[in-house]
This record gives sequence, C-alpha cells and structure tokens, in this order.
Amino acid sequence: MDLLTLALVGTVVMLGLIALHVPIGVAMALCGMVGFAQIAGWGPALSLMASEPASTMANLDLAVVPLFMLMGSLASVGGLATDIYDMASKLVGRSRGGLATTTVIASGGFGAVCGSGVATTATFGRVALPEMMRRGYSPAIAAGSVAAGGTLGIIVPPSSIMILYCVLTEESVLTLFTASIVPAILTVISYIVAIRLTVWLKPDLAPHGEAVALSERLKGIAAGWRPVLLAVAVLGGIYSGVFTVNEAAAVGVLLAFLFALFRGALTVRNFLGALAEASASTAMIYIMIFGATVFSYFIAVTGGATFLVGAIGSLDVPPPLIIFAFIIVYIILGAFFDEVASLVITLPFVLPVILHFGYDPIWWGVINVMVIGIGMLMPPIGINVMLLNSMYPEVKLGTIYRGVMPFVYADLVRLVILVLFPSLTLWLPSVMR
Amino acid sequence: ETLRFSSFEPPQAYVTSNILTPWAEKVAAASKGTLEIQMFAGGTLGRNPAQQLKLVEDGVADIAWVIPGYTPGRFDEGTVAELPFMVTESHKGSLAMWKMVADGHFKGDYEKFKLLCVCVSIPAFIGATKEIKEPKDMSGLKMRAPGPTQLAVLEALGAVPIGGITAATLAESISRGLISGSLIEWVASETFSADQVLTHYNTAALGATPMLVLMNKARYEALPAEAREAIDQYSGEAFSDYFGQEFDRYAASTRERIVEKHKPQVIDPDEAAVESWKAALVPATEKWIAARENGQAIYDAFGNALQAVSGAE
Amino acid sequence: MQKIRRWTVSAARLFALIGFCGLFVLAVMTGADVFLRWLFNSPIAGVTDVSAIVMAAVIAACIPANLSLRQNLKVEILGGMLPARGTRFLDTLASILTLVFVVIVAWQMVLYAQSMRVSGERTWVLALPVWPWWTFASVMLIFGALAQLIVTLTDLQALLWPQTVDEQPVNDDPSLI
Ligand code: NA
Ligand code: NA
Repeated sequence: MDLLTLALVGTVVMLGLIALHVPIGVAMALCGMVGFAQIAGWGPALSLMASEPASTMANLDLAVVPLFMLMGSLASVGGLATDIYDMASKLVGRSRGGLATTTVIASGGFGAVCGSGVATTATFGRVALPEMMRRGYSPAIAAGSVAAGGTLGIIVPPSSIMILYCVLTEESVLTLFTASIVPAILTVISYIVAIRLTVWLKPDLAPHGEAVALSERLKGIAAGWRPVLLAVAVLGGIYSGVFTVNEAAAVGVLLAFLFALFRGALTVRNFLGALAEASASTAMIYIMIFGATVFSYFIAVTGGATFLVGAIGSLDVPPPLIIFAFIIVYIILGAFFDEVASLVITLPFVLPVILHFGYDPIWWGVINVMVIGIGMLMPPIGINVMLLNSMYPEVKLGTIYRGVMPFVYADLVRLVILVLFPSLTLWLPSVMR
Repeated sequence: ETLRFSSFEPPQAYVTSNILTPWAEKVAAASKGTLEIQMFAGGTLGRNPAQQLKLVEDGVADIAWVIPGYTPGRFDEGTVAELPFMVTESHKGSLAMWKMVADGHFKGDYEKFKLLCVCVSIPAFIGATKEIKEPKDMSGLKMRAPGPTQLAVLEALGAVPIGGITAATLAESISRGLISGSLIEWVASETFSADQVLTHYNTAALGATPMLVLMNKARYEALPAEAREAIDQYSGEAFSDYFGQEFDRYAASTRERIVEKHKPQVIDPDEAAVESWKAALVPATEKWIAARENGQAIYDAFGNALQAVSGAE
Repeated sequence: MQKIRRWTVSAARLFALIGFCGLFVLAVMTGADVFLRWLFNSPIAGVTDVSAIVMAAVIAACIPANLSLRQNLKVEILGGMLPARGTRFLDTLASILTLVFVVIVAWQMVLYAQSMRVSGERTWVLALPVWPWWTFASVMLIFGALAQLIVTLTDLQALLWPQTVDEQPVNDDPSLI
C-alpha cells in the first residue's frame, strides 16, 4: 500500500471507530500505532505507546490544565460565583432583562478564574437560572443567557481549550491568552447587545429589575472583592511578569482554597469533591492529547499532511474563502462530533494549511476557540444546552435552543469580524511583547 | 533503504537546513543508490527535544540530532564541555570532543550508539538587561538556569537561578522581568528571539552546549556495506569538524546581525577581566569534578585534547 | 460482577484523590517558591525540577478512575439510532478496544520505567533518579488495565445476559470544555 493510501485508510478507520463509540483518544492512538507499525515496524510503534504518554504526562505546559481545573472547582466551592453575580446584578440588574445581562457579565468574570465552559454553565445554572425564573423571566431567555454565558468559560482566559491548542501547536499560552482578551470583551459586548435587541423586540420575555438604594448597590459591588482579587492576582501576575503561567495557576489554586477556607465554605467533603471533579476531566484531556500525538506522528511519516497542504495550496481561491470553508466545516462537524474532539482530530491537517497561507497560528487559535464556543450551543449536541436541560428537566431542550439563537447570531457576526480583521486579535500581543 | 532523520528544530532553522540536511544529501549521494535519508524536522517524529534520544533507542527514528543536556545523567562525561573557560569556539571544541571519544575517554552511553557527530556550540556567555562588567555585577540577578552545570556557574557568581523557563518562553520571561537574563550564545539568542529583549552582553566563555548526531547501532550494522561506507566517510571527525566550522561561521554572522539590528552593548572581557571571572568560577569547576569518580581525569584529558587540536592547526 | 466493579471504582477514586492531593501539595510548593522569590529574592531550589516528574505521577493516578467510570470522550450518535441491544454491542466493542489500548500502554510503560532505571536518567537540578516515579506510573496503569478489564466484563455480561444486570453504577460525566 502506498503511504498516502495508508494515511487515508488510517484516517477512515479512526473516524469509523469513533462513530462506533470508541473513545476518541483510544481510537486515535490505536490507529496511529497500527499505521506507524506498517511503516517503521512494530517495535518502534509499540514504544511510542510509552514514550508519548510519558512525555505528555511530564509536560509542564499541560500541567496548567489540572491546576486551572482545580482553581475553578475551588472557586465554585468558595461561593465566588455568587459574589460575582451579586456584584454584576447591583451594577446592571435594573434595566429590562437586566438579570440576563448580569448573567453574561458575571459568567465573563467567572471565566477569568475558571478554565472550563461546562463548569461555568453548571455554576450559573445553579446561581442565576432559578433567580431569573423566580423574577418572571421567560425560560428561553433565562436558560439561553446561562448557556451562552457558559461559553465565556473558555473564551475568557484562562481557558483549558486554549492550553490544549497551544500544547498541540507549540504556541505560547501567554500569547494566546493575551490575544484572546479583546475578542473576549467583544463577546461580552455582543451578548449584551443580543439581549437588549431581544427584549426590545419582545418586551414580555423579561421584566425590569427592582430599584435598589445606592448604599445597597455599593455594598453589593464591594462584596465582589474576592473574585476580582483572584482574577487580578492570576491574570495580572501573568501579564506583569511576577510569575509564569504555571505559577499563576498554582497561586490561583492556593488563593481559591484560602477564600473557601476562611469563608467557612470548605468542608472535607466538598474539598474532596472539588479534587475529584478536577481529576476526572484531567485524565480525559491527557488520554486525548496522547492519542492525537501518536496519530499525528503516523500522518507525518506518511506525508499525508504535506500532500493535503500542497493540494489545498494549489487551489485557485482566495485564502479567506478557505478559512471560512474551514469554519463552516467545523460548525457542521460540531453537529456530529464533540467540538474539542474535532479540534484535536483535524489540527494535524488544518494547521499546516493555515500556516501555508501565512496566517498567524495564534489568531487561528482564537478563531478555533470561538467556533468551539458556538458548537457548545448548537443542536443536536450543544453540551451547555444539554447540561442545563439535565439540571432543570422542566425547561425543554427546544426552549433552550430557541433561547440561545440570539447569542448564536451574535457569535456568527463576531466571528466574521474577527476573521476579516485579524489585528483585533493580534494587536494586543504585539504591544505587550 | 530509507533512513528517518529526526530534528526537533523547524526545517528552516539553521542547523537543520544548513548542516544536517546537506550532510544527509552528501551521504545519500555517496551511497551508490543504497541509501535515502528522509528529514523529519520540526518535531514531526517527536516534538520534545528531550525525546530525541529515545526516538533513536526505540527505532522510531534512525538518526537524530540530540542535545544530551535535556536528558541529565545520560552522556554525562560530555558535560565537561559545559564548564567555564574550557571551550572557546565550536570548531576546536568539537574536534576535542571527538578526540575524547576516539581516545576512549567517553564511555557509557557513548558506546551504545553509532556516533555520527560529537560536537559543541560556541560557548555561552551572559546576556542580560543591564550592564555586566565584572563578576560582582551578577550578584542577586535573576537568571535562567537550564541545567546543573549552568546552575553551579550562576550560584558561584551569586546570581539567583530561576528554573522552569523553557527556550520557547525565554524572551517573554525576560521582557516581563521574570528574569534579567540568561547564559546564552548568539545563535540561540536569535532563534528564541531573546536578541529582541537582551540589551547587554558579556562574552566571557562560560561553557558550551554539547550536541550529538546519533544513529541506532543495530540499524547501522544491518545496512549494506556501501551504505555503511558512505556514512563512515562523512561521520566521526569529518562531521564534527564540518559541524564546528559551520557553527562558528554562522555564530559570527549572527553576532554581526544582532549587533547591527538591536545595537546592544557587547563587552569582550580583556585578559585581566577574564582572570577575575575565572577566579570567581573555580567553585563551579570543583563541584563538577567532585561529583564524578573520574572527574579530575576527564577534566585533565579534555584540557589536553583542546590543547592538542589547537596545536595541530 | 457489579460488586467487584463498585470496589474497583472506589479504589480508583481513592488513587485519583491521592494524586490530586499531590497536585495540591505541588501547588502549595510552587506558591511558596513564588512568594519567597518575590519577597526575598530567594526561591526554593528544585521546585520546578521535581514538578514535571511529580505531575506525571499525578496524572497516572487519575487514569484508573477515568477508565473505571467510563469518563472518556466519546461520540454517541449512532447509539441513539440503534435498539438497546445494538448500543450494548457497540459499548462492549469500545470497551474491548480500550482494554487493548490500556494493556499496551501499561506493558510499554513497565518497559519504559525499566529503561529509565538502566540508563540512570536524573532530574536536572537535584539529580534525583526518575525511574521510581515511572514505576509508580506503571503500577497505576496496570491497575487501570485491571479496572478496564472489569468494565469490559460488565459490558459483556450486560450484552449476553441482560436480565442479570441490576443497575448501571453512577456515571458522572465531567467535561473539559
Ligand atoms: Na476562562
Ligand atoms: Na454542537
């Protein structure tokens, strides 16, 4: 079998296994190993099954993932989400649909201390959703704002997806975090605009908030010092050079732990719960990365990726069209695949093409994270939507999907803007160097 | 037969494109059609520099460019080149390293591979964000410490060694003030963009980085005779000689480029200054010798080898 | 079978907890290192030196729990279109392949730990030997393989004798996004 055919067969078998419920990391590792053995022999191929997990497990860039996971879990245990929600509601809660806006802003703030979108969704599913329903918000807009706000967990740095992307592409985590600041702010603004437009078109979806005395508002705002301090310490510490990304994550874990401890919110039980929650998602991400690297070595020895770059490079279409084509493919893939899985599976093929056309891998990383964010909301598997539905079965899936649509439109508009104006993403890292 | 040659450097990087790839082409041309050498650059066979050795051991790659400093404890005798004021340039240093192998001073891991090239970089020196004239200027300065020998050098100078900074994050760690500099040489400075943030250099020779090009021994022995002859013709002293000359030439041109582009202050210490640096660094050398059973013997042999290759010119 | 399964789940969870306690200790050490460096310009020697290798042990300790709780990322579209028996068949197939995968990784990791011992590789600064840590990782992976074997047997039982299976153990499904 010639090498390109082998690469094609390997890819098809891998996708087939994934469709047959085989875990993604396992399918990629097994196909990569067997394919590699056809070229280099079984001895080297089997040895990859230890040397790759070993270098993945001892990779310090990746060590940030479990640390940020743990920080997010502890922040949630310590009630930091409630603090930030109260603070945001005292700031913007009074207007029509104010609590939906509050949810989005608070999710963005919580995103600055939590690296996971699902955790952010689950947290505000507990904190914000019951509150909005009680105040007479329609279930659609209430659940929609929580689900969309949840994507800010990965869009606002720190973000486990960004770290994953950087590990797979060998880009600087710090640069990607910096690059995503402006797009993250744009996301929050576009979501607020989406809420305003929705309640302006259909005022019966959401009531006005209650007027609160100024002193009450100031008190509520001041009560949010903990999450603000945590975010400032972690992100400020990284950007100012007081510590490295790894150290920032470690300091974040400590601070979140201390906040929870001194507030009396920490019991042995929920501390262990936080550890367990973070450890489960950690093993999953490691197994997937390991599978992806073995598979990408297989693709490299076959020359498959080089061939694909040559083929796409020789097409006579403007590069931005190819970028939009990739994005559309990702959104379609997101309907069938988990979005993180499709990122991991396609990166060995897509990244060389992006680089070939002279695009910045950091910029593509930001776009990729945005696309994953959209995928978390889109049917049939919008993980945030399904999560809220499992937490509140009385809010039907269809209702939530209807509720997230304004946010998805906002996402699409923002995506087009970011693709057409890469400087929105790349300007900040260039001045912060 | 096709051999897989792995380099963790991207294909366009200097050593890979101007030394390793031409070497592979020469060998293939001399093999009378028995060999083809396929380059896997940019970590396509293993992105971790520390992994390159394992790739050859496991047969994932047949040949690899290896920096033994990434796998401490392996090729330990070769770390003698990391000591301050031994190696003064890549060419002589590389010839002396090969002589150490040929004369049987380097054992252990060196005997487990087909050694194609045993060489060193130009010596590293101080790159910092403030002026460093004499050893006492280093006191309290936060510096990157990538390995045990450099750590001992920094400690002897009273600097604060900071670990955990990879080459890829070097420039941003300096620009953010996490560290004030690093032991570095021109090529690394440019490769990792540290030249954009370092403003002061002092070129006292504080130790070179040993490097190797290795081949899987069993794989070599199983090759047809013509293929082995072609490899032998361009390996050993010949490859070390070629590598050293190319590295020196490129380092010199890189220095000119960095000086012209960023206008840093560069201090080349005079004889008196060198003596004061040497005096300050005695503990680092002593520590290295004391930590090894045959430390003194290897240290002396390497000194002699350096003299011998200098005398031969 | 269900009883053995529950037992492995508890043991695996315990290892994951111990592993993450290790991570927490590492975070405390790193934090101390940062503060000492920041306040007194005197970091703790070797914190970053051990972190890579401790990390490897932490991650390895999380893997058995991940396997025994079936927490790996899967795409379960096809299952929705099949009858229950078909889904069970797919899940069994997936479990068997996962078992093959873990057995190979565990086996190779044992060889890897051995090769580290023979070659005498050490950490950079403190020159600690690395092989004991990799041996620990191998033990965790071997336990992971056992846990996966139990999962596979449970699946086979559910496929062949569905009436004997009382209820599926809890499957919390965390996600990384
Ligand atoms: Na985040
Ligand atoms: Na989706």
